[in-house]
Amino acid sequence: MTSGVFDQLLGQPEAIEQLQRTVAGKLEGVHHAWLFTGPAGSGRSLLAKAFAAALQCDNAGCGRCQQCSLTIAGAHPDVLTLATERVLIRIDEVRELVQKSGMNSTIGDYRIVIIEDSDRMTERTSNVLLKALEEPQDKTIWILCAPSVADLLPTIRSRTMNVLLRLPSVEEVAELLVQRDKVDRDLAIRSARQAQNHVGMARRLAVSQDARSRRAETLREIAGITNLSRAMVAAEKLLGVAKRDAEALAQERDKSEKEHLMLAYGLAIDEKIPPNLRPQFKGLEENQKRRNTRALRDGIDRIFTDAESFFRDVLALQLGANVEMTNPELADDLQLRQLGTNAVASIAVLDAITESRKRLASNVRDLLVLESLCTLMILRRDLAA
Amino acid sequence: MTNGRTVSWHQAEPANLVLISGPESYFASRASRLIKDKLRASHEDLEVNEVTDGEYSPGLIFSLASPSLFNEPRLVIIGSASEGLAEDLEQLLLDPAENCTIVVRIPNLVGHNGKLKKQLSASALNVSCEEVKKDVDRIDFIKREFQRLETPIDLPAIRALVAAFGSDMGELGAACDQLSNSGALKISLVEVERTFQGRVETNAFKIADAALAGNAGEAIRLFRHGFATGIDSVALTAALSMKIRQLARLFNDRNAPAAATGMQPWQQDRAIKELAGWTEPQLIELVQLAAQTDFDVKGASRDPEYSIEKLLLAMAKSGQ
Repeated sequence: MTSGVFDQLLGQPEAIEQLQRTVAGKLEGVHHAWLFTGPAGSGRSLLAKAFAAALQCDNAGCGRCQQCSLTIAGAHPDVLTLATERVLIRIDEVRELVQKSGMNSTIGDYRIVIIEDSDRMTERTSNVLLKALEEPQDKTIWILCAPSVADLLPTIRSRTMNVLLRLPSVEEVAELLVQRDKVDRDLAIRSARQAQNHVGMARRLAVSQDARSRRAETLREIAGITNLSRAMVAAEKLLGVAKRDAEALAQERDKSEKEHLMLAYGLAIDEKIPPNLRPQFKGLEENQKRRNTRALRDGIDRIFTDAESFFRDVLALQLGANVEMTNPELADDLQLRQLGTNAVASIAVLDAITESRKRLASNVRDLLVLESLCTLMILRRDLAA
Repeated sequence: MTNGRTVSWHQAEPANLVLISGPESYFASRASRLIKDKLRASHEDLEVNEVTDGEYSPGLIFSLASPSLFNEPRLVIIGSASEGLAEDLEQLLLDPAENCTIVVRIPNLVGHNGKLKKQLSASALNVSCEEVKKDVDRIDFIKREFQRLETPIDLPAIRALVAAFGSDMGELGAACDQLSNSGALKISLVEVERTFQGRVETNAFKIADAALAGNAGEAIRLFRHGFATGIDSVALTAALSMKIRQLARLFNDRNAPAAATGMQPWQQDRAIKELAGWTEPQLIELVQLAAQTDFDVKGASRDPEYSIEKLLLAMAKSGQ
């Protein structure tokens, strides 16, 4: 059996095997709701797409037929995808999706609905979805993606078939970077290690000098916290790093979106927007602003991930664990910290990072979150010496 | 004629064209009421037309201002300038209608409002309603109000009123009315306290200052007053954490240049004074508590008020 659509996926043999078995036996019926869970970077949404393609394909996902290529390109009329670039999925979006999910399929055998980031739903929104999952339509298949099973309501969890993904290994990620992005092997391995096996992040680190220098700056700031005032300054600088990161990503996109909208209304690029069209442009700006809020949060989240890798290394040294270091190039700083603090302090920092993520999610001022975290990272040089 | 004269809101009087400008809308409504009352006092059958915000269409003023059969006096009040109004008024003023007063409210100087003011202020009575920023002016206002209401009031009572209703002139005006109608022949501190139950208006900075001065009781008292009079707990926490940030930023780095800290020189001097008595571990704890408090007021706790009080107590205690 060929399985073209699953080839792109890295290091998920168990999950792929399970799905292929389902596809092979699809004539006997397919479960109506699936939940793909795995850490960020494990390829949840890619796998969801591949599974959808394999179900639509007459040949169990050959990767060459029309059904497969349409699905992979995100253009299949029977495969609906809901992804959000904002902090939350809106209830209206889910309502619309539920409505569409009831329609018959057109060119494919199934109507498939994929919700990426289904952890970004409030309880109320989840309950709208629950209604649809409770009374499955014939030939409609839901695929939800989330970081972990615990991110969804128990009532939803109990109605889905769960597929667990794992993170690909450093070697696998590096291999992919070398082959797909033609990155130098040493750089690929280092990027994969620093990104802690997250494929997308590894790729960014491998191809963008900016991303690399941002990561280096983050760790330099963290390693240099020696007293309270330095901690406060570091928090401010880290927020600056996250902001620049987010802005770099957003600026280009915001501008081109506005230009597209102007074009769509037949306006010249530098023309003044007439009053009757202002609501549309205001809507676009609000959407962009919401998206930028999430972009900034993601930027801060990357800082948390980098900090986590650093303190994980420190803790490994302190406990004498014989594991591979994520940041061997910072050996001096790691040594200094290993001697100057103890394992209890390192675990406290790691716990605080988890807590900080939670605080950020409930809209606590970003600077305040970073400050409170940085005050836990103070290392007394005089004590360490 | 009243060409181009500018008067304060309480001196407003009828004229062919009155422009009421300035940001304080309470004064503006008082001014137009004053004009209405004055006109009504001389003619009982005054005909009043009010054109609310955005309802004016070009040419409307001519039908409103033109005399009726018995030539009753007319008052036209227009909510804000809009398209065509400036041109219409200009034309009207060439041949002013008899017995007609036109009042235009100009809330800001943007767009049509600014244009109208520029074109017509030279030929109108300008009534200015400036924002009240100083306590001296508030005291003046209270004195004038009680003069108008013909009730004597003494200075301590005035000060108490200013403390209780400092931010909103409308509330202050209403409070004056309420006091003069309370039946007391003379208003003194006792009447104010009895009527308003010792209400004190406060703000986040007063609360933070009291706490950092080590005055826990005062800080809590102000906070509860603030909470009762509608202070926003999220904004308050933001202000408190800003103060804490300043202290923490300067603790090991007292000679930091103002450019690096982003503080004003006076803020920096003050923060350094407030640092006396603090130790580094205490401040570290305070920074962490501030983050927890922000978390609490944004939904993590059912009783954000308690969380803020805890933060205030920590701010007041450690400094001693």
